[in-house]
Amino acid sequence: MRLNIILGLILVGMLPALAGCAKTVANKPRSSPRIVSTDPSATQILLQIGAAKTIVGVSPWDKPLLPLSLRHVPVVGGYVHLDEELVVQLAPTALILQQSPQRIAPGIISMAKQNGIRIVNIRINTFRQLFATTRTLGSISGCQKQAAAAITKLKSELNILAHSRPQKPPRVVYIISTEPIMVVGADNFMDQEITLAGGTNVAERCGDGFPTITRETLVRLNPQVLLISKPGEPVASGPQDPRLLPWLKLPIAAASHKRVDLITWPRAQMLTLHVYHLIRRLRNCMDAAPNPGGSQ
Amino acid sequence: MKAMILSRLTAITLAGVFLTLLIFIVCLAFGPGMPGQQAISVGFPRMAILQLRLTRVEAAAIAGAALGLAGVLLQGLLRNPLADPFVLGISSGSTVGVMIWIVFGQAMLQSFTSSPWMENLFANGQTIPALVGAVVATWLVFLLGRRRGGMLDPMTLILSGVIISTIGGALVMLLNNLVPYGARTDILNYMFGYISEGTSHTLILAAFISFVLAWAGALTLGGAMNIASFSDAEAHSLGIQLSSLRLSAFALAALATAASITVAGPIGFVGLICPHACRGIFGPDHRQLFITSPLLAAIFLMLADTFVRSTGAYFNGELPVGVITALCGGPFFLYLLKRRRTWM
Repeated sequence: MRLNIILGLILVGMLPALAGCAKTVANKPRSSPRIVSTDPSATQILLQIGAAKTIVGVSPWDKPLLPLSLRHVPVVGGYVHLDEELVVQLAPTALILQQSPQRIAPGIISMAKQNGIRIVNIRINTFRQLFATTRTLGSISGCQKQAAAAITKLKSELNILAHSRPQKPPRVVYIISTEPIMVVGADNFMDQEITLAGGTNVAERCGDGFPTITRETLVRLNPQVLLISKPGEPVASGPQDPRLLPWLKLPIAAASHKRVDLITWPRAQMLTLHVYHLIRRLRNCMDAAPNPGGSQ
Repeated sequence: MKAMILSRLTAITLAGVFLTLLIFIVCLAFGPGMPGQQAISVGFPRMAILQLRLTRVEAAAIAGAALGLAGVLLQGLLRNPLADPFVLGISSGSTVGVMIWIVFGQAMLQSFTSSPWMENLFANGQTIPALVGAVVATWLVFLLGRRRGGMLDPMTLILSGVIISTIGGALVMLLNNLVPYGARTDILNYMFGYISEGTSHTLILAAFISFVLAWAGALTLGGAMNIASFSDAEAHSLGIQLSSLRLSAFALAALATAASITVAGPIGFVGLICPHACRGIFGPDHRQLFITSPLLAAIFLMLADTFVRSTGAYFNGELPVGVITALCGGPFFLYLLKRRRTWM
């Protein structure tokens, strides 16, 4: 009996909270664009086209990359676990995902349908997809003009880079994970970045995407420039930096000419509208590379 | 009779060592070919590449042998045919160590870059955090697995291992949410075990010394472990100090597992299947198992690692070696489960 009374009191106590939740949802304005982004690249693009005010929810990986004015934006989860209740509470007009259509959980689709949320499933793996995604994001955020202007600007920047490629591009290997060694392979935006930066991605032959290779394969590829991606880490302190030392000991041209560099830019593994600046950075690494020779 | 056993042991040891050396040399002759031209390279390459292969095959041999030894020790200690070095939560302890390193290591690296000694330590990547995690997990299991009077109880020990493993798994999931963007691939690959050509010679030497010490210790326990495999009462009546025997076996298994984790991370199933395979071939005598199981495990891991090292061209990149050991070990594990009724 006493237990029933306690339970009853707890339920009565919870009613205002439940009512508050309902009120929160009902009070959210839906006329202006409200975007929940679970993809860090998409979030960055939204920021870059001036749609910061439309972002109402982000993924955990976005948090360190957000400007201070947006650090209060709630984290809704990522592609593994999405907090659907929080998404509903935030009452967005669009939910951005980057997944193959078959892998979107049916629960997310029905939740979006019931609450009038548009699912925007993007794919950003090549420059062409970057332009298409920027257009889509401009459209859903009400920043079409800014998006179009950003695309035009980036295309002209990339065009200049494409026309200033060296005649003898150095052989480049770009490592994105060191143990085991994962490299930039064929058919992805980082491969395109290497080409535009003036290099030849010799690891293209190892496979599509980001294949894992052994040190032996790396020695056989004998790159003249070895780039190691460490997004967000401190800049290399020089050849004695412990993160560079093991690579400088390898019998490859890049090591003997001290052309081993860390790419520490926080957005180095993302494709955003700032890709031009990253490519310029990569080009600086390659410019001092020795003349190309035969691979071993 | 004793002379016969000794001569049989000597013959098995010599044959085993010879076969291991032969496989070691064969493994050195295989590697990945030039991408786009040749899938697999067969034959002995130039010195620079041979040195890389040597590092990796050495590391695989030591890690495999250590796992094979730890497997025999733990199956004997826990009287459980399904026990392997990672049933005691050591694997999840090492993964937690690596996760902590990935999440907080960057700040630590910034704090210590002024010290050359610390720089050297951190240059070894995930090894040190993995080892620290494994040691902490082992110590916790040891503390929880003791009964009053300080004696290790097999059942409590295995339950403690399962609990520590579960807590470790939860911590891994928790830390996974804090991992910087782009670092998740490192963790996924680490969890399947990985032998690197970049392993420093100091670490290989340290792992080798740890393994040799554990092996030498285990060889002295062979006879006592045979008696301890009967009931506690029978073992006591035959003059075996179960308390000190279990403590020694646990410490040696932990030392061997640490040696393996130092050079290869958490590789599953090797410590489970090799002791059983040797039991099937040579019988349940621990004096033989302590010799044959490490040698067979070294051969198994050398071959598995050579396979993944050489076949990257067929799998769009190198597979984690744990995938191969698990693909061989998984069906064997199921076979054991099916046979268990007759085993007990």
